[in-house]
Amino acid sequence: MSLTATTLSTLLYHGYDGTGGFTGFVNEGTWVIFALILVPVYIMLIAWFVTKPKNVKSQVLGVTYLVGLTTMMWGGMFVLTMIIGVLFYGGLPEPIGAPGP
Amino acid sequence: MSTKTPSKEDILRPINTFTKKYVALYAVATLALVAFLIAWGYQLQQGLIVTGLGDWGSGGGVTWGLYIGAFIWWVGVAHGGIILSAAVRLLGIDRYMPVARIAEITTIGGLSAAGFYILVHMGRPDRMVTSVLGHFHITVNNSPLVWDVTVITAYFVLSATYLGLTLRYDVVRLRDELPDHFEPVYKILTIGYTEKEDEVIEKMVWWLAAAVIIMAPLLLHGGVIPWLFSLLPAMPGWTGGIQGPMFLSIALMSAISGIMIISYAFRRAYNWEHIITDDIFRGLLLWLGFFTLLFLWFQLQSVLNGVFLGPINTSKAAEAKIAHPVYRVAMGMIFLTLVYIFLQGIRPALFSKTRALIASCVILAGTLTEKILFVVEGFLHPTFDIYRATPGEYFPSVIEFLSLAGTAALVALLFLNLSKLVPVVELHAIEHLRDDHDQEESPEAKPDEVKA
Repeated sequence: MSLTATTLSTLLYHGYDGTGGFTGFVNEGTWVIFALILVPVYIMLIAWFVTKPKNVKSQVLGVTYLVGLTTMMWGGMFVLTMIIGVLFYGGLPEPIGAPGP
Repeated sequence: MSTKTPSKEDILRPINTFTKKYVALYAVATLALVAFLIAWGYQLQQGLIVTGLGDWGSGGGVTWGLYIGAFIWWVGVAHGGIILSAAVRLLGIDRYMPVARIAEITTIGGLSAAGFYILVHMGRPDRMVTSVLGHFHITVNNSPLVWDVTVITAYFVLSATYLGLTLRYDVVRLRDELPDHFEPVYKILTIGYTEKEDEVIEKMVWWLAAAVIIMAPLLLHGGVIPWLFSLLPAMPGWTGGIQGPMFLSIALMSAISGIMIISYAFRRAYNWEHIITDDIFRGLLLWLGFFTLLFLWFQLQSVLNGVFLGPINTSKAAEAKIAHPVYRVAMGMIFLTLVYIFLQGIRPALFSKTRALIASCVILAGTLTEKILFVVEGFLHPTFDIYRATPGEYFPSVIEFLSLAGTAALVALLFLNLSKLVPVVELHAIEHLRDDHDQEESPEAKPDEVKA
């Protein structure tokens, strides 16, 4: 395997890329979600920035809402799941905590 | 229409009043949520086994039950906000403007409940974020559950952004009448506001509504979720292209019913007869009838394709489905509601708000039952009867039933809290209703003019 392929394999699959051709990134599923289902969101974002009337402050506000809410949602969920891990499963989950036996 | 003119004071009433009924409802909702959280804590401590869902050998092969059924149902309820708000904003159907924000909050509440169910059903919920986000580039490709999570995140974020952007107009104009103790929240909500932005924000929320109306109903509830079930080829009850439209029709039925019940509660609590008018309920009831008709048609297609010379596995699943007494009761309730809606359509004297409320409750109960049965029966009648030797019978545990009460309480608390913070009826709606009112009172107004 070339150096690029090895680096890519380590980066994407942590070295375990035996099924990469079928399950790995990029593949059919990736296209379905990013090139089909989320297309309306891309169109909305483009329209925010190219259609008139425009106002940079409002555009930034809109994007801040999108990024901020996503971060808050997953950040909050991350904290909650870490608490669940400590309280009910004897520690933080992998890879933050130690890997299992 | 009522002779009372809608005013700012009307929409501020939930914020500026504090009644015993409000406190009682708050207490009941908190109790229900806490009861479920305690039950969930027990489940986390003992494992999913306490519900029987974590064990392949005690529920007749059913490992997805009420949790997954209720998850689908809540995502369905969430669609109400999108359909109504988008109809108001994109198609100019101003008739429903007074309930548009209630609908948007229902979306956020419904999605929160649905997201919560994903976490509740996981065997190891502590790994939820690290496994999904930590390997997103892989999981998003090979797990439709991750599509689910991705699209629900997008849906939630877009809906909350929509609400956040539209609230700015109202909060700025009503600030003097809003309570001072929430000042920091109002400051954040209206940060950097200038009147010049109104037009731009209006355009942005139009595009938001357009994006959500295409992505959420057609690609999430009518797409990702039914696709997820179809990927399990051993379950004939779950496959087939009809599942997308079926899921969407049932979602819209639940959503409209939910909006009607919540709108009825607000109207009754705050004397909003002149804001959330009978006309709105009549209109929503007709839409409910339309989607119920579609749903029953899809059910007929699905069942007939199985029982009438269908492939053996599909035929067995369809026969078992129509033989189940709970399915018959649910479909019977839904059908009778459709008959009522049809009759009141041709004979308006049969309409009353109480009957509309009963119809909504019946539809909500019927759709929830259908969704749970859909999930459970899929497991009970697989191809080759592969779980034939699996003992036991599935019946939802107390914890699962408590989850229904808990998530309903979560949504109720969201409404109870938000109604003290911001107006749940848009200021635009009041301005619009006042314009209508002025026109009706002016002598130039034509008596035969019909509203859109």
